Amino acid sequence: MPDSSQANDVASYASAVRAALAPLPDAERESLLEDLENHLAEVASESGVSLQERLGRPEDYAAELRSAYGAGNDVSNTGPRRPLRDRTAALLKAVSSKLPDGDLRALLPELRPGWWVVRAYLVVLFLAFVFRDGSNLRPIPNPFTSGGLLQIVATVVAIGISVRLGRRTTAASRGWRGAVVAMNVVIALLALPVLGRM
Amino acid sequence: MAHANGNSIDTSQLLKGVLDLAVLAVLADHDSYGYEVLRQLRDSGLDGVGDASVYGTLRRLYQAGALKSYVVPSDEGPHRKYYGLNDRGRSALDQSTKTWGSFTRALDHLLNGRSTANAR
Repeated sequence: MPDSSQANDVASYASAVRAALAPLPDAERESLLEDLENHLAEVASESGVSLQERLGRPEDYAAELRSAYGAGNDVSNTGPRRPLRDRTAALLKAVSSKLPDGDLRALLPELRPGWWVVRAYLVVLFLAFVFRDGSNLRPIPNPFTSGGLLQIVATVVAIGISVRLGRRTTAASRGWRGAVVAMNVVIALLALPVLGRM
Repeated sequence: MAHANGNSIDTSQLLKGVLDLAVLAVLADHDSYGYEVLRQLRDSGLDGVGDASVYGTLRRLYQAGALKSYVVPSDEGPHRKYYGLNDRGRSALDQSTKTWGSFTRALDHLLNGRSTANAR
């Protein structure tokens, strides 16, 4: 191979290696690649074949370099180049893969009816807090007072409504489900201070 | 490149663990530059060793302070960056040589024990 094309070969191979190591911090990459061109020129001058034939693809060469140098092994986890969306998705995936298969993941939907009952109870509790004397609220109202009895009846009615709503929502459109999710959040937020006072 | 498949030892995996030691050993003899280190390793029988692995190892050992380095200009061909052992490199070599010795003795012992058991 004539000298000028050999120099071109070295330059293009080196820049491909450099590009493949772009995710490394600049200082680390430069310190690793400081002597790369000279080294590649040495390799090229000893044989007639192209660097790619001699050394393999520049990407693979770069990967081998990086692993031998032990550089930036954590780059893929902490690098600023990775969009937040990717990292969030990766995190979610990691978390959900930690859940035992067909166990906890399958259990979560089955817990739904329980939540339907709880949210009905919480709504009535909140209403009782607002409309009755909130200071002596108890987890289970006293049925021998008219207010307490009313609260128990209201809870039973609310549970009926809530369960019906829940069963319909499971098969409902996305917009409707979104509204119900928002409502659930509001109920939970409203009920928290009430629960805190009991 | 060969991959470990559970049936036989993958030489490239073995090399990964001992390349530092091999490179230090080559440089203990005399200062040398990347391409020559590679050739010496291959001449001594480690022909599976990759160019990038040797280059990367030299740079890492240098960064870790185990090697000294200087450039030798040349009229024909590229300048050569020579590497040689400094004090830290020499003590790393001594230390690793001992570790390697006890490691191979342990493995030899295991393997020999097995072959005598088989012979019985």
